[in-house]
Amino acid sequence: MIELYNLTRHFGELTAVDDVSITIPKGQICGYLGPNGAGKTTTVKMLTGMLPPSAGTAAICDFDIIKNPMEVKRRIGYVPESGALYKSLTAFEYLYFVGRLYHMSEEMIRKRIKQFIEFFSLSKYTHKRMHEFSKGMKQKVVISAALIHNPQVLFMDEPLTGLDANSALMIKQLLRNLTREGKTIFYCSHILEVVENLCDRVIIISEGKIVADGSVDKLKSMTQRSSLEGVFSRLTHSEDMGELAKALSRSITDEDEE
Amino acid sequence: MDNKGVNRTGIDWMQLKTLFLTSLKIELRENQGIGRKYKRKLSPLLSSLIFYAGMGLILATNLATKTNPFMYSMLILAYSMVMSGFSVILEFGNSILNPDDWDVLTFRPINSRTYFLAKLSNLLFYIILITTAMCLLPALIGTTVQGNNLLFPLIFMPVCYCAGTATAAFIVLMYTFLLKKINYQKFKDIIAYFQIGFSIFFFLFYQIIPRLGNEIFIRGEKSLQAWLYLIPPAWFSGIVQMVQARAAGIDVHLGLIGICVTILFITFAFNKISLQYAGLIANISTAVPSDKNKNPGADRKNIFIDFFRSFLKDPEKTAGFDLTTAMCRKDRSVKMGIYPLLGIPVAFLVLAIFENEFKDPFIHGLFQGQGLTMFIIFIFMMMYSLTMLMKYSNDWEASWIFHLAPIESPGTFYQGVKYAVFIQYVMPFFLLLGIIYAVFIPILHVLHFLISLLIFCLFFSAIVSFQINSYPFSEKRQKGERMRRFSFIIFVGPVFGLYALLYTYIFKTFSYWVIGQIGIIMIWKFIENLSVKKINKNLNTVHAI
Repeated sequence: MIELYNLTRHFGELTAVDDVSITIPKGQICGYLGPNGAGKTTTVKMLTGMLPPSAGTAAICDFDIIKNPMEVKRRIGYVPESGALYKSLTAFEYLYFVGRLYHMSEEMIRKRIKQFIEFFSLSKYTHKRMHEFSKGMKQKVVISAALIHNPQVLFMDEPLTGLDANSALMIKQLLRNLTREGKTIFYCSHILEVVENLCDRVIIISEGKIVADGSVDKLKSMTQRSSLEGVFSRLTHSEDMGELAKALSRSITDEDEE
Repeated sequence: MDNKGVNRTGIDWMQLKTLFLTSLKIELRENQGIGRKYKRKLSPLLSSLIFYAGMGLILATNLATKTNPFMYSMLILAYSMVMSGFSVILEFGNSILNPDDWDVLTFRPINSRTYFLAKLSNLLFYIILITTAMCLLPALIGTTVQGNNLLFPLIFMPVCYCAGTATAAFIVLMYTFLLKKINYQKFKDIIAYFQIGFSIFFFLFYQIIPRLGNEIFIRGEKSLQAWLYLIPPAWFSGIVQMVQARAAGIDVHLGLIGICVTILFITFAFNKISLQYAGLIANISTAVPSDKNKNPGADRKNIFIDFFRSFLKDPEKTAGFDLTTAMCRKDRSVKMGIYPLLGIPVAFLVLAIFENEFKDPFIHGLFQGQGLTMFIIFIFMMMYSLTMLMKYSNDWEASWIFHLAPIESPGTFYQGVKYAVFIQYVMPFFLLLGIIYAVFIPILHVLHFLISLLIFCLFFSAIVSFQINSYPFSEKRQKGERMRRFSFIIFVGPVFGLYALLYTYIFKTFSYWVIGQIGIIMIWKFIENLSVKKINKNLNTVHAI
């Protein structure tokens, strides 16, 4: 369903994504982890057609992202990390606008909007402009906009940002159900606990290269760590973080006392 | 989820309609203002339109009895094209190359041509609005010009729309051409300077056209007629004469040039640019600075600015000063907002040089000619306009820091902002004026003149400070806002009369001059203190964002 062939992206002299090759089958939810600046968002942006690759290519639902970008875009949904949306519009107007871009019928758009609004308990806010919304409410609208056209593949970059515990739980349940119905989900996050609970497979990327790929259990046994957090620290060379934090806090306190 | 909306030209009409209507809805809502403080005011766009209509009316009534039909159309078209061009540079041109909606739209199945056309339609909507405001009253008044008939408005208005469209298309083509040739980061650096060039070009042209028209049509200098081929408003005026079936000779040639240029620009924009547009925007949003441009202005030391900064003792004043100088140097959105304004005084200065207006103001009086008078008015007004423009930035959301930081006196903080504007943008113009004057008059007179101008400028800036009601770089830019400031500049020109009056009575002898300067400095300090209190009151009551 998602196939990456030696996908590479340079920004000037920096190689953000370096020769990445992955295949994610239909119905799988794949966690994509990495430290800040590892190349997660760049990978997603290339797969969603927002960034052209410098080398290599990828295929989504058997359509090449370079040769058939429109066919790819018709089949994907995306929750961007920025949570960008048009805040001057109401939630209804925004979702209607997105639906029209996918040539959905008016009747179908209204039906789907109603379903999402009810699912996310946004009924009271449907016709309010979104600049009045909290971060979590906006995120619910962004997720609805990613799903409204019933995409076959979902790219989610930190989708739970700003959501309360109940909403996060509902979304996780929704994602599990969607994969059961055959959707493929590419899930980028820093929240390791969520990835551990939710994903069938975890890919860890560091400095643009894949450093681990497998199920959570496989990665734990490979690195001899008991948690995904431990696996992550080990593979991304960040095990001495505790010492560094201690040193900084001591330095700040000492300077202030002086 | 099919291709049914896409026709042979590659345009998806359903998406085009959705994108266009939504963009208008968003912009008009933002223009109405989100917060409480805007609701009592006219929207920036509406007040700009009212100003355009007023200027059009004044211009048309002034020209109707003095010109022939060709010159009347040409001058109104010149006004309309200059103002459309300037507003595209100042407000709307950036929107066509703005990657703001990148995160929302790029991963949707919208093809390049549809996306470009949606952006272009949005731009043309504003051009039609502006052109209607500027040209509708002149079109009606034009029926009274000897030689025009009652059908004149029906012919003139479509030509005005074509002229506005061609002007906008010209600027968009120039921008996109530049973008194709150079990296966006470099583009953003040079576009700010390019905008100064554009505004000089437009305003100089606007000054030259009436003079040329006067020579050709009023004084009958037929030898100058060939120059009309270089003047776009003359081409479009030629079309008006052709459609009125009154054209002969040069009018027909000019009209044909106008038709060809409009068709060429639109075809070129549609065929060439539209296909590459999505790629162009992709390059914009993903461009990374080259090593040289990674931190613009970081290693540049400005001795001039550092020298003035050393006089600021108050930490809040210094903080305002430092923030403003840094933002003006590094934030390209701020640069692109203010640089077009810098071209206007330069245009008038060039005109003053051409018209030989540099005579000793202490002997020949202050009003030497239009160019120099307008130059002086504009550097005063620039002080006002730039100070007010400092409240806008693309990073406006970061302004929460002002509400969190323990700023005791926002008025003092804003003094630092004003001084930074004064030293960075206004002082260089005074120096430029001084250098040119020094060629023509004794250096001592130049110094006296410049010092009096500087002191009055500070006095003027203290007066305009009463209008400040938000922290610097704390508001999102709204369409029409900059043109509204620009309109205000033109309307408050009479304040300059106060300076002229002082100049006439006080600066006759050296002792009078010294007493006069001391007097103005004292009044300035008094008003400045009042304005600080007023800003403190305004900003301490602003609710947190």
